[in-house]
Amino acid sequence: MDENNLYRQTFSQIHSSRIIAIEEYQVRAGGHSVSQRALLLAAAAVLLALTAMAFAVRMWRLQEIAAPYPSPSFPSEVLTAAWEETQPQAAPPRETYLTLQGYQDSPESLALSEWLAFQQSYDPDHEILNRIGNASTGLEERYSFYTPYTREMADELDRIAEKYGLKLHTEFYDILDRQELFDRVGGDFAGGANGLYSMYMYEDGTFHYDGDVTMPDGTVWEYQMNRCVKGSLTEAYLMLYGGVEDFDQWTYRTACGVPVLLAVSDAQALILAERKNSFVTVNVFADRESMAREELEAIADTFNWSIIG
Amino acid sequence: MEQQVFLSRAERYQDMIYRIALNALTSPQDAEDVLQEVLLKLYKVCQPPQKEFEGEEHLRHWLIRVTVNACRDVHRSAWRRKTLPLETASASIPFEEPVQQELFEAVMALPERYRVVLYLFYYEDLTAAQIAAALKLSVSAVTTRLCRGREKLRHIWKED
Repeated sequence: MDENNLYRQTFSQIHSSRIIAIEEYQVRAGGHSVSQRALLLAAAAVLLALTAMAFAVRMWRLQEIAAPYPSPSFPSEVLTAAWEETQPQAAPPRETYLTLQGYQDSPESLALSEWLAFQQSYDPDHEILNRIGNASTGLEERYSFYTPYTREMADELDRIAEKYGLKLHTEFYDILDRQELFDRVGGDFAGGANGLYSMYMYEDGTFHYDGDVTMPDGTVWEYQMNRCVKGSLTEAYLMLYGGVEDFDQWTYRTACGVPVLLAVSDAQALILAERKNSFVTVNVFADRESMAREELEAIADTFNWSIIG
Repeated sequence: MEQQVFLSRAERYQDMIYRIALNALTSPQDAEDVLQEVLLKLYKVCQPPQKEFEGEEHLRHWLIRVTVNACRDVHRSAWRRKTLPLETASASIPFEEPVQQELFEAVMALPERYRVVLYLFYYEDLTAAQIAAALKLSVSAVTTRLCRGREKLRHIWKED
């Protein structure tokens, strides 16, 4: 038997045990289960951020938003995967995280860093988490957009939010239509060149989507956009491959007149904008080799940043 | 009508989604969670106004990408449960031949970056370019992973 057939015969014996009940999806399409929340949380805990009034008086760099604490539980193989593409013989670089909530000294960033540090030190061997498994903790309703699984963790989260004068998220919406997102944000900020997918938003206007942008020459770039509204504690951070010193960074005044910070490394490309009420990050799936500086600037120009307040 | 479309598609691709998720995450529970999440997205795009798919292949590739992305979200989650011990996962699958169990365990022991690429190549018959698009990798990275993954399984191939 050749390797192809052996592989196929082996994996053909693996089946999901799930029985598909239409009612479950009808209900869930209008709400969220515990496991979905965990996944949504994970999604939220991934992306980016920045913006303008403060920008005008403060020229910032990635160094100012890098999180002082590492985030918990990233499998090392995931961390090293992107690095291997460009540096197969070298040791993986150290990990850096951007909080995506603003400057390091902003209440939102300080709160997130403190919360991440607490999580890192709490239940380090996952003994409590394993004991709980998928069982209800009684915390799901109040803390459905965060990751506490014990009362002690929930109390710490409350304490941190209160300390920094922040609100916890209370509601979450899947957004199926781009016009709905534009209506909620206050206008079409993405224009016709951008495709928007997998959109979701919190009650305060914090949102995330996966997108792509088609450039005039037909090139398509994929990206993720994340907007963190100030005044809320959002578990959003971006993992960097390497340190912030590995990025070329420059400020750029976009076509709509709003300045943004652009950054490119051997593994990533970022557009960051601080707005009056929020911090916006675009994580473009490109790197220094595949994308010229002018191309990243052109992508930044496809957004009307003035609409995103 | 929309419900029938959803059920038909869900039943057709349920195992594919689960297998990709199991390859990515190795934990049957996490794979079931991802399946649930992907099916919910499928349910939503089956509702009016339905997302247009340009044929069955378009739908299959969309599901593969959604599944891969959902698995990445799980990887990023601080909530992720500790992976079920491999022996437990393997023991719950009644393989017909010992060599199949051996292959399964060997594949699951590979780093994640090899497992998913191998699955999409061997089982879903995707080309390196299609895998590259689904995983957001370069084609050369995919071929490198394929070569290394196959190399790491060489002792199983030889044995068989």
